[in-house]
Amino acid sequence: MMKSVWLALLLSTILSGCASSHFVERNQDTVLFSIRLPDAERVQLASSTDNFALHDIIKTESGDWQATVGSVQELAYFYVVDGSVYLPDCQLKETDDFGSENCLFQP
Amino acid sequence: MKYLTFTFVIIILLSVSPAVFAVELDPTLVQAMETSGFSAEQVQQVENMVGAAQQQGLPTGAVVGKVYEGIAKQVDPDRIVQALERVSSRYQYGYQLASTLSKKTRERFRLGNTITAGMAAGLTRQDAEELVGELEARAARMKQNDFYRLAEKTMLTARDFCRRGTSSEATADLVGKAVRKDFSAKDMEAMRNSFGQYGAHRSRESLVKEYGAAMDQGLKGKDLEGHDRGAGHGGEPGGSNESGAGGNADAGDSGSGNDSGNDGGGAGDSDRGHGGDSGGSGRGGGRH
Repeated sequence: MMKSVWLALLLSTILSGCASSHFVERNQDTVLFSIRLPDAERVQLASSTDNFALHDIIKTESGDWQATVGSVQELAYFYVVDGSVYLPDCQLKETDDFGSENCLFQP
Repeated sequence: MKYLTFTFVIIILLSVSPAVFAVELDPTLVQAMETSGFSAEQVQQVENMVGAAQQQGLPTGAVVGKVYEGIAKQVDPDRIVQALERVSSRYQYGYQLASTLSKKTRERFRLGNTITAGMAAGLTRQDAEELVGELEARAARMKQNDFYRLAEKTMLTARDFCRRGTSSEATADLVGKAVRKDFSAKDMEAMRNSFGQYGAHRSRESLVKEYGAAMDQGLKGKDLEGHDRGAGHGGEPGGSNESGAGGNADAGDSGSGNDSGNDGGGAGDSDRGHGGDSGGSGRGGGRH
C-alpha cells in the first residue's frame, strides 16, 4: 500500500515536472510570455503586434523560455518549437482560418 | 453612338473586374510572398483582396496580417488566399450587421470589429444575427447613446464567451436572454467580467446554465456572481493575484493587428496554461 502511494507521488512529480507550463503576464508597459518546454532546442514567438514576425526567445536558467513584448494591446500569438507551430493551452482562442487556432492575449 | 456604347461596355467590365480593386502592396509584403512561393497570380489575388477591403471600408490590416501569419506558419499560398477570402467575408458580414445597429462611422467600426472578432472565436452568423435582432428590439425603448453602449457590451460579451470556448448556441441563448431581460450596458459588462473571472476555473457550460437560471429569478449584472457562488458547485477562483481589476480589453479581431480601433479596458483575464504552478506572481498585471 505504502509502496504504491510513493510510486504515485513519484510519478505525479515527474509528470508535473515534464508538463509544459505556459503563461502570459502583463506588466506595466510590457507583456511577458513564458513557456516551459524542457526538450525544445529552439523556441520562437509570433504575434499580431508585428505581423507575426518570428522572434527567437531565450531559455532562462530555470528552463523556461521567455520573451517580453513591448505592447500591452490585444494580440494573437503562437509559438514555433523546433520548426513546428505550437499552440499552448490558453483560455482565449480564435480560429486562424488555416484549420487551427491562435491564442489571444487581452490586456 | 457606337463609341458611346463601347465606352459604356468598358466601364461595366472594369467595374465588375476584381482587378479594379488592386492596390499597390507594401514591397516588404510582396517580397515575403515571393520568397514564400506565391505565384504572380496569387500576389495579384492578394492585391485585389486588399484593394476590395479598402474599397469597402474594411480594415485592410486584417487581410495583410493574415498573409504574414500564413507565411509564418508555412501555409501553402493557395490556402493563404482561401483564408483571406474567409477573413474578408467575415469582416463584410460583421460590418454589415454593425450598420444595422449604428449609423455613426466610429461606432459602426467598433461594433463591426467586435462582431467580426466574435465570429472568429466561433459565433455563427446565425447567432450573431439573432443577437443583433434582440438588440434591435430594445432600440426603440432606449436613448441612442445608451443603446450603443448596450450593443457594444453585448457583442463584447458574446465575443468573450466564445473566445473562452462556450458554444455559439449557448452564448447566443444566454446573451440574448440578458438583452430580453433588460440588462443595461453595465449589467452586461458585469456578467462579462464575472464570466472572465469564474470561467477560467469552472466548467463554462455549467456557469452559463447558472447565469441563465439566475436571470430567470430576475437577477442581473453583479448579482449573477452571488447566485453562482451559492450554487454549491465549488471551484471559485483561487489566488486573486492572477487577475487585475476591471474588465477585458475591448478590441476587435486581434488578427488584424492595428485595425481594431477599440479601447482597452482594465486587466482582468487569467489565461494560465496547464501544468503550471498555481501561485500568482503578485505583480501588477493579469496572466493569460
